[in-house]
Amino acid sequence: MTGSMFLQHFTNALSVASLYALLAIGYTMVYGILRLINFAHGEIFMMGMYFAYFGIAMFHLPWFVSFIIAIIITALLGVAAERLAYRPLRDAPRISILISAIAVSYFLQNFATVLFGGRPLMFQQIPLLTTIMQLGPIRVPRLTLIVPAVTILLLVGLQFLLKKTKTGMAMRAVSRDYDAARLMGIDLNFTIAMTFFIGSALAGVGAILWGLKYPQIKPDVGSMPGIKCFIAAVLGGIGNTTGAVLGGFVLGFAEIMFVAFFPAASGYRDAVAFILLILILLVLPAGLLGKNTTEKV
Amino acid sequence: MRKIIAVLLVAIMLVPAFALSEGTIKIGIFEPITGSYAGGGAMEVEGYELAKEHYPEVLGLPIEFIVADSKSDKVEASNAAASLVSQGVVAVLGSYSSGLCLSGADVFAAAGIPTITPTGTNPTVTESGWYARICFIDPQQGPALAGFAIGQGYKKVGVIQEIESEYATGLVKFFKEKIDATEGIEISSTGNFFNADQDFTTLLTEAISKEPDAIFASVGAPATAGLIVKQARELGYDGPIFGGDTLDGPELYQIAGEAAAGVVFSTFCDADQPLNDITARMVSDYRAKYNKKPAAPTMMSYDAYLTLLDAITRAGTATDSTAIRDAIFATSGFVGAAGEITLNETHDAVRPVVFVRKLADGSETFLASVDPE
Repeated sequence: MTGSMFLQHFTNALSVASLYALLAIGYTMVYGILRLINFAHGEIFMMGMYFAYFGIAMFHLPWFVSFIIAIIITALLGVAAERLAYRPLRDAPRISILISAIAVSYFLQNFATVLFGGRPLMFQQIPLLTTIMQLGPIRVPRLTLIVPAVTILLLVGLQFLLKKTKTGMAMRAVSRDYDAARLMGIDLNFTIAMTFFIGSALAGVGAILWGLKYPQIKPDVGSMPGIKCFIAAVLGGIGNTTGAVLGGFVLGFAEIMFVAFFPAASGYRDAVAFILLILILLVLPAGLLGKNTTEKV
Repeated sequence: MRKIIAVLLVAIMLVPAFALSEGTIKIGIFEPITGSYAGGGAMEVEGYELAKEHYPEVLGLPIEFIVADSKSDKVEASNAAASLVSQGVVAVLGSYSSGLCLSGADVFAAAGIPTITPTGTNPTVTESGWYARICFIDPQQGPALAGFAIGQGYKKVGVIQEIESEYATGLVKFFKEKIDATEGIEISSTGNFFNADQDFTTLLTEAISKEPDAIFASVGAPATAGLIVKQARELGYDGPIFGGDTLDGPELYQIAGEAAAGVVFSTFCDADQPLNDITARMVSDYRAKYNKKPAAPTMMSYDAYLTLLDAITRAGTATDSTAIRDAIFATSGFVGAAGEITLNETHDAVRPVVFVRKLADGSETFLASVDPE
């Protein structure tokens, strides 16, 4: 493999990995606070894509206005899912809320099919973001560099929010112990709603970047990224935001570099993700950065 | 009490089944309405519906469509087929995607329901004994594509294929057989991807590094081809890209935009090359309804409906499925919108492979028509 080809693969991997990381944060945040694998996360991501698309196509908003509104609506959708499908089950056994999450996922997918139809729609191309640049021997769309920058920026912002603000402190407290946090005067419902708001907003950002990169929107567009990013979150240590980003990067690079170095085995690319998951569960059950606890979902 | 309610519920469920079967001929539409192949399913449904508007009756009875969504999934396709059987359809039209046809084939054969696919080109589709097709098969299309590559003087062809699709891998197999048997042309690389994939940059970077004279994209749906073409151009590849009949659909241009210019694909027919009065009527009414030129799969599904009606008329019955099946299999010299249909002993149509090239404005220009060998 030549140096320039490796660089090309590297930039390809960088943007895919950043998208995985962005989505994995949402999984990990919800898990951290509710001990719930939010299987509807991929579908919330998918709805985010439709919101951004319709903002431009139907309401003729400028793209940045449409994107901001889409991110907010996506975040509110996440909050609504929590309010309607998870909160009533908060004191029920864990398995009930997990099944409820799967139900929300199916509901959203079928809802989108009825509302928007099964035929793929084409996400708008924003020349400012998608123009191709020639960097020495390699060619990269601007987006390839924008995606990791946005991911890192949001991760830093999130860390600040979690470590330095009252809301963040409340979130960390709730993730440690519900009852003790409540005794300390923390508004449990508000804190959990905020978690969903932030996690889903990140899914919204991820959805827009994804749509710009792969401009095809259909009701099942969230299922594969959903599974991959769940794996990324587990890889990094579910419940740990930095771990989720790390997991996203490990998974994205592993997939792309596997195909890059063993092109004949390209049909096994998805198997790599799952083998990685099995290996990590065997060797480091808590993930790369996770704390070792004996919690069972 | 509970028993009475149960009986009543069952009775309610049976009522519509009887009510609808009075005086109509039920035809099942077996297509992917959602999922990866939804675009293909939509093109074919448009064709069936237009055909039904033009010819709403057969043997003096109105035709009723019963649509089952195979969700572009092989397991769901069997379920959809079973649901059509249980609703008492006399014949079935569909499906886009050979893999989905195959999932339904055994169900329809077991129930004894004749089925016609407009565009399922994999040779194994019609082996069940109840399936017919009005399109060519891949042992014809693959070598025709290879013939195109040889004729263009390509020395090295990079192949990327959708590995989950019987159609895509079968087409590559028949393509490769002819390439391997020809001096001076070789396949420089083969990359595999999955139905749900959206990122092809790694496969393309690999394929482009072998400096091919052309890339052969064997995909399951036009939207996938759109993503491949777009990403190939973004990676700086400006050589030719070509593929089979699944590149024919509006999504290729919608996704790839001007990057799709120059893409060549083989297909069943070209609406710009009107063949007869039926073509003219079909194309102009389709334009009036959808404001665009019909894609080949739409014209083929229009013809599949016509072929079925012709068979029912010749059989003289709308209930005897064996007679309808035999009449379909005996179709000879039937003229539809996309050309003449004659089925051979394997229940496949023998017809030319048409090559077209995409232009920068999204329209297509006719290149050649390759007659069967």
